[in-house]
Amino acid sequence: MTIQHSIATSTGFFAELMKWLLWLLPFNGLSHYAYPLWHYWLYAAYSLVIAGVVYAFGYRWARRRASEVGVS
Amino acid sequence: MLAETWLVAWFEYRRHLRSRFFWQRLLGGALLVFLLTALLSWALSRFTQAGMERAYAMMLQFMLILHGFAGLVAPFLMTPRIFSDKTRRGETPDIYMTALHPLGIVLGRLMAVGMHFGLMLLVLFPVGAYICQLAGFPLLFWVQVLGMTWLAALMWASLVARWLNKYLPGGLTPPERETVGISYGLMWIAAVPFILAIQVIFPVLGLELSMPLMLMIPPLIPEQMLKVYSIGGWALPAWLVSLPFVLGFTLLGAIATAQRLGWWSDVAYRWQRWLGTVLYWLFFGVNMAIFAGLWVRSAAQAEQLVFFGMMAGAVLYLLVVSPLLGYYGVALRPRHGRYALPPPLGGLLWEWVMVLGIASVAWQAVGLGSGYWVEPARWLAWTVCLWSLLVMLQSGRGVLQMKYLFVRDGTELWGWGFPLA
Repeated sequence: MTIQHSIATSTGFFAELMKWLLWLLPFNGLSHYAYPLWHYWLYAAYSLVIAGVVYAFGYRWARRRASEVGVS
Repeated sequence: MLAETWLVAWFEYRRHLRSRFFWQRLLGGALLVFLLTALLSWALSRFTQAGMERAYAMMLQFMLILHGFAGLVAPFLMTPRIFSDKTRRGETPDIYMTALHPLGIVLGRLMAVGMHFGLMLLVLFPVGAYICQLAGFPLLFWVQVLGMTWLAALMWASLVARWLNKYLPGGLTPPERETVGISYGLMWIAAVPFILAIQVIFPVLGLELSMPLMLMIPPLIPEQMLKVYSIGGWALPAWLVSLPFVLGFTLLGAIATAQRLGWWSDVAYRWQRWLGTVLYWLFFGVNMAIFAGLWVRSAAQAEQLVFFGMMAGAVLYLLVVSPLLGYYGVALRPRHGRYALPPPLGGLLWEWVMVLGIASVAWQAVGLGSGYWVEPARWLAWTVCLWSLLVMLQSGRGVLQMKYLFVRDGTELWGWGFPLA
């Protein structure tokens, strides 16, 4: 059994986190297509939360950077 | 436009190809290929006894793709050289100050790349004709293969010109463009094992693998040229299915490059975006359907193909196709058009539609091609997941792009974020 398969078949918070990280590498050899459906909805929620955080903080960062350069 | 294209092509021919250096390299390279062919045909003659049929066939298949490797490397080396405005003696951006139309300049330069590669194919023609005679193919087949190879190389040249124009604007100095050209060329070395497997080993073992995409990769063309696809009850030769896509992507690349070089046309921009989107959906769908028809034999395989197809289609769009479609994705332009959403929102929505289209086309194409339909609930979960990954990517790109929008004078245009934006 490979490391990837042992991760894919184990459960628990860290295993799920690891599965999600592996998910971000689309061609890593895991059978992503066969996960139970709730995984995909959960991953979608994770990604949207991260997008929201990046956007909220990034917007302020971009504004601040622009004012530092002197043009806004 | 034709006269301008020809004028620029002739100008570039005199600048790059009418030199002793070029002809020495061309004829020297051809001599090397002739020697290699002689060596390979000697090896081939050792495989003629009984029991060696597979080795003989594989050797012959290998010899058929010799010129194709030139097609992998030549356009990648020549395009940065011809499209770059910097020379050892100074710069030639004056060409954009003339009355020449930017699209004419781009097409003319593409034609010069085509002349360069065409001369290579012409010099290598006797080798191919000899191998065809060994393999028992008619000469017309070889002429068709070379024609398709030439068009495919032109398409790559058009794409490379656009990538350079987008990611490294302002032209490159001679050492820089050699580096870029060699890197693009070396990129293909990673593909060589796949090419050898598909072209040399698969046909001899009787494994069938075919897609219109493969007719865009020069060494795969001899093997793919004779394939026939049945689409909706019609039997169409593979090259005929692939040809509109090759021409479409070439033209799209040329128009996108010209738009950035000073030609701006709202009409061309709109058509470029709409037709480009539809062209990519069609291209992706036809490839998926044909692949599914050949390989999918169970419901599980259909699920696997829809899933990986969606991912691969989205990655291909983000890396290769999005630069061809104008202001797609996170919009950079300072003012938006009438009836358009303000940037970056308008661009983001276009990209959502593109990716949702890719997901729908993947599902539909695999269903039609193989007869196995993936359960809609599963498809919906995958699609939402793919969309959310896109939103995550867009948030990062959007933040970097917003910085460019705020900094109007372009002081920080080439900050650290440029590879992502």
